[in-house]
Amino acid sequence: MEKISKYNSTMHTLVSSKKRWVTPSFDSFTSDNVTQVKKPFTSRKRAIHQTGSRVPFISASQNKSVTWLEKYQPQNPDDLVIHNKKLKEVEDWFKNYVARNSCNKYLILNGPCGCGKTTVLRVIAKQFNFSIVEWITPLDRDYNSDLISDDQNYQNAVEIFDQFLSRATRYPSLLSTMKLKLILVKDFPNIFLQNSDTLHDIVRKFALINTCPIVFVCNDDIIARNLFPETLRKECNMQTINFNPVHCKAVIKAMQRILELERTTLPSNINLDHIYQSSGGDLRSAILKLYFNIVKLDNETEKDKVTTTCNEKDENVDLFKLLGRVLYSKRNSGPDGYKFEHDPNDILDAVSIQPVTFVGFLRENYISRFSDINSVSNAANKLSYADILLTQHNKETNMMGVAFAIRGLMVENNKPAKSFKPFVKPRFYEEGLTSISNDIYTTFPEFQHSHRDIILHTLPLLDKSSYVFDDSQKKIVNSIEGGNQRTVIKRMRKMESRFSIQLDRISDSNQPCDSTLKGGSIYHFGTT
Amino acid sequence: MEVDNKTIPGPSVFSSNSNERSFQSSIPWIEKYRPQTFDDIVGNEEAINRLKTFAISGNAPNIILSGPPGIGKTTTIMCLARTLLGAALKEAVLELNASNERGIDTVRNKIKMFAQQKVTLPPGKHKIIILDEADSMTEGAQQALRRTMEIYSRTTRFALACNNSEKIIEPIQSRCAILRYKKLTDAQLLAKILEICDKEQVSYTNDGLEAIVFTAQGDMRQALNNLQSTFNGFYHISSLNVFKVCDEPHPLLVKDMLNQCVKGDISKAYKIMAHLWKLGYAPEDIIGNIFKVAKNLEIKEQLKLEFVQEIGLTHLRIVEGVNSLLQLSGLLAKLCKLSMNQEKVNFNS
Repeated sequence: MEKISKYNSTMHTLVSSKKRWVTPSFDSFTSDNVTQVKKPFTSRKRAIHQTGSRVPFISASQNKSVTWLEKYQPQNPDDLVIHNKKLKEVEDWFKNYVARNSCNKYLILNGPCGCGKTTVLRVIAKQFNFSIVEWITPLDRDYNSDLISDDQNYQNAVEIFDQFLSRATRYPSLLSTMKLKLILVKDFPNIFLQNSDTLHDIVRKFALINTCPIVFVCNDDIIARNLFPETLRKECNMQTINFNPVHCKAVIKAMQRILELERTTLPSNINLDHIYQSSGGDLRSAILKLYFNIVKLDNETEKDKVTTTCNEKDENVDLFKLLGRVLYSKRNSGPDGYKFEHDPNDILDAVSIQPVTFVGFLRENYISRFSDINSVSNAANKLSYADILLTQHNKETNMMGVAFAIRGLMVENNKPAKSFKPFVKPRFYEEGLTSISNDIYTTFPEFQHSHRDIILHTLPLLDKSSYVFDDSQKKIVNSIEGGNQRTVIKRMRKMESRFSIQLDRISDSNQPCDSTLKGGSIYHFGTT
Repeated sequence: MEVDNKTIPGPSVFSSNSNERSFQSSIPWIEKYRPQTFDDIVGNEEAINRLKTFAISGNAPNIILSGPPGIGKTTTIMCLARTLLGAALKEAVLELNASNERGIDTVRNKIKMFAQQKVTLPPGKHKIIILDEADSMTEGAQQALRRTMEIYSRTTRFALACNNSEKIIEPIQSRCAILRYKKLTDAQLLAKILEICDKEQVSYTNDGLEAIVFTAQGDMRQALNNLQSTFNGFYHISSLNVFKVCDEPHPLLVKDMLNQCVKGDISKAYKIMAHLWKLGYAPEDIIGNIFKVAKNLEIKEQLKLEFVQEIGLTHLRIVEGVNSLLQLSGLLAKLCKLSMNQEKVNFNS
């Protein structure tokens, strides 16, 4: 580590003496120098000072400030929590690379947050004796800033990135003991997110001349698709490995390992299962939560320890409690009609997620909690009114919408179903759909409804033979229907058929519930 | 109803006999009484206790506080920073809120520069970067933030406050412990208001305090601001003064109006509505207060549901631009009709 920093500072001096600046091309990345400081544009004197001060910066006395995430970072493959198959995939890629050396130089690791993409890469790279050089986007240089006197010093972000790659891939590190090297790009310069063509050009260029492997890490499907479209992946022989959220048992095992090493026991009121559920397969978040809940002062006793229940990632537990209160409402009969055991106003106050999301949850779950088709019809009617209130981007009407949806379901559900079924997430929030919603208007400018309606009700029902899609539209339509067995349209059909059976059984059902079953958003109420 | 300390003349506080006094009075109460330690913060005890532990033990994780406005998110973070850093507060804290420029440039430059600065702190203590109203940051800026968080995690911790944690991108959520703050209860608000009334020697009536709590709807900042403006304007907190200052239709009038609707007496109900209209209230305010009152009206749940539905739809029309007296009167007529139908059903059954 010390060596590297010395090396860096020499490089800085060398380069700056020639009046030209090198961007952070030699940022070497190993597990113990994460705190690297990069200042590409300061003066020479300053740069030396910076790199010089780096050594005491990470002194051993800072040990206390190390979070559990760093402290318990896996060092060998046995500690990793990911599935063996995935591990093997990554290993195979390295093996292939070492064996044939130049064939597939690019690897894309894609997966949700906290599933261990970078960690796996680091561990395996170490095993194969690769050193990792990570790209860290440097500070922006203001074009008009005083620091830059002459214009020839100015470089744009793409150039800097390009130069980084060419230097880092071409020249071996003088002092590194490891023979091989790989480049890790995780912190994409912002310009690529807006204009991915520039990245594509760079990728194509380096596919031809590059000599060492480059690994890209993405955690967002839409960004990954944008930065590395299918054609580019094929063209440049990029291999993609998709990661899944970490499995429940693995998360719990990892947490137990930490507890063992910390020599602490779990307070009685915290449950590892509970932490896993609230983190949703995100190991980083789970460990943070564990840490957050478990750290106590030395003199604190178990008795006066108060734990919080409110640090869930998306508040699943409390949310489901609220849903239960709405959908299995209990009534206490009084002299003047009935009263609800849980006041709808209190439920409304406790809702901490977006109004639209909460109503989405209700809408997804309400049908199976009702025991009578007439009530279902009434409730669907109420939900559709709530939906009208939610269409306006007005905070107050949105609050009214939720209030109305809650109250409506509670009132109409006069005989809640006895059996308890687990609640499910709204279809709309299923993986992938939310990410599409952002650019649906630009892709389909002719649709004017809310993006939820376009995704759920318009696109799946489009007649594909008569409607001509362009490429980006095709991509979206495919991603709505593609891959997964539980496609939206299949589920909708299933739901419809289930209801037509029920409707047949009840002879006198002339309630207009067929139109609401498709998701409950009807627009002809709008002008009443 | 009048409480005994009304004998203390209100204006005396403002008489500029001493310079100190007049200076004191110019500070907004919301700043003057901003809690300085964790113990003074009202509500959300669990979360605050946890943070208190970290303030003493050090090595706090990155945190996100989310919740509606006026419930002490920023105050909590400031308390945390104060307890953690003590004397080094000034140099070891960077605070950015929505009024600061906070594009990608800022994140890349200001935040990174600050993270790189060397500040001598005892082990276990870190520099803190406070990003208030983090949900208003652009996605690009948030993306730029996420790697910074990790790279400088040994020296710098982040504390984000936001109204809506869903607008924070997933990678940042994954790197932070999220604390969700809940609305303050009316009792919590009332206790704090009473305390401040005592300290400021404010004369008040009980219904005045009730009015303050009603207008605040769980927002402490709003409550204190309303309290101070009423006090500055009238030197006495009574419900009449409060609603004059906050310029909202008096909920008692609204309640009376709705009760007339429940009885089915359209002409009496309309009289009140016409009165409110004549006073010059905006239709948005009137309908908003009707909703607030209707929520807590003591009527049958079924009827209340129907009321809420009509009120909501009328509100929607008003928001869309049809904000005439006709709409509001139409609402009253519909409400009367609904309650008459309800009675008919009851009679038949």
